[in-house]
Amino acid sequence: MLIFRGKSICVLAISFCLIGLPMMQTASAAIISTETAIEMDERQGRIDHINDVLARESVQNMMVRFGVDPADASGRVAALTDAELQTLEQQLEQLPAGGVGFVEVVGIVAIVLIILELLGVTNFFSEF
Amino acid sequence: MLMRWQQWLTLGVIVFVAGCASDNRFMLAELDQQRDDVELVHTPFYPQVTDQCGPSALAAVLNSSGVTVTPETLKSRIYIPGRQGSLQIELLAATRGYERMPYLIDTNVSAILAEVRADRPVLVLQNLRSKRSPIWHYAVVVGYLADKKQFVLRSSDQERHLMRASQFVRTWQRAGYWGILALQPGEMPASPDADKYVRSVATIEAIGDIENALLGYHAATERWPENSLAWLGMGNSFYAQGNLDSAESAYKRLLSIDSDHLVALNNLSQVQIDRGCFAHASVTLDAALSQANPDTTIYRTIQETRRKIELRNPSAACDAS
Repeated sequence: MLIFRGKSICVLAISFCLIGLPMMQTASAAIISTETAIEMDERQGRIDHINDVLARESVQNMMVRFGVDPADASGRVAALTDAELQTLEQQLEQLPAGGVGFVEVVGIVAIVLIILELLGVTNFFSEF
Repeated sequence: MLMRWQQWLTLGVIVFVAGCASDNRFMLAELDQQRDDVELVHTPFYPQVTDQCGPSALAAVLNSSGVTVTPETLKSRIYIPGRQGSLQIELLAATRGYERMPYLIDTNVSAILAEVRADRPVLVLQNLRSKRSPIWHYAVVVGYLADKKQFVLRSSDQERHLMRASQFVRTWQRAGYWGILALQPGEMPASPDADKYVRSVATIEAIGDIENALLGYHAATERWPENSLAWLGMGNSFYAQGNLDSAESAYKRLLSIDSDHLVALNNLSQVQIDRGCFAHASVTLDAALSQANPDTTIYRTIQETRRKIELRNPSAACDAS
């Protein structure tokens, strides 16, 4: 079932590319975008165009898999630049996700103290 | 046996702490130059709900920049349940979504305090534990108490969390010294870096917010009149709006600074083509082809455009100068 879904998404994305490509070429005939110009600077004139459609699809799927509401995911993906999209596609699972509050930190510190106490490294609690 | 293990542990802790300290000593020394207290008492505070420090911190920064938005609304844009937190990239994207330009703060505490003194709170990422097993946390720097050497943060469920400078710098260092400002379109940070500023504007242009990108490029070209990328971005933004006259003058301004700028030559030729000025476009493209390296993508792009207009009548009437 999952494989089927993956396949159909791929087919859909590829057909989107095939339909989209000639249209994009005529619409933006020769203007080189600022974003591309920056990438060219960084890569000394090489342009490795990422497959925008596939990358967006893939990040969107990842987000949904991580519990993001599918209705929100498409908008969130649309708000990313190509470079950001590429980073998320490769590292969504590893990038820092800020979230914890101090309550958790205090809890973790307490656990560490208890472990150190039990191992006999400290004698913090026996002083009381 | 246990004794030996404990000794290793102690040694490890000392080495770790010393490693951090040497990296941050310079920053802490810089803080000695901060003589006056500063605190932005009006920066709003949104107590953090469970693991949603991202939405709370971003709401504080956006609201103090004039955007009305609640952490609840932001949650649907930046929170990822499966990661129990928010990613830096999505904070940037959401900031742009509210027509504010995210600007990465320079990696030193003086830069943070310069912004706070200029009335702009700074959203920072902290790692509250170690590099190996991090605890990531977003907070907002709203002040510094010079005598006590303490930072004032909107953090977690504390409206006024005081953190020792050494501890703040350590937690910030472990998060790669990452922090952002939310600037209004065209607003400049306290000590802006040209390249960083213009690249931030380019991200606004890239997501299609052309009007605000233009405000940014105007501010950038005013401050750094020789900045090529700012003129290119301005030209491209005007072109996206269909304003060929202004696009042309921006590209020409860029070429007056850097006559070999291939992208500018290419894009200017496109404006000339759109106007039907094929003869002008041919001259522009030939100038570009004489400069470009034939092995590059840009050479082939320009060659392709040149070939296209050869098919048109090169002597077509053109009233542009």
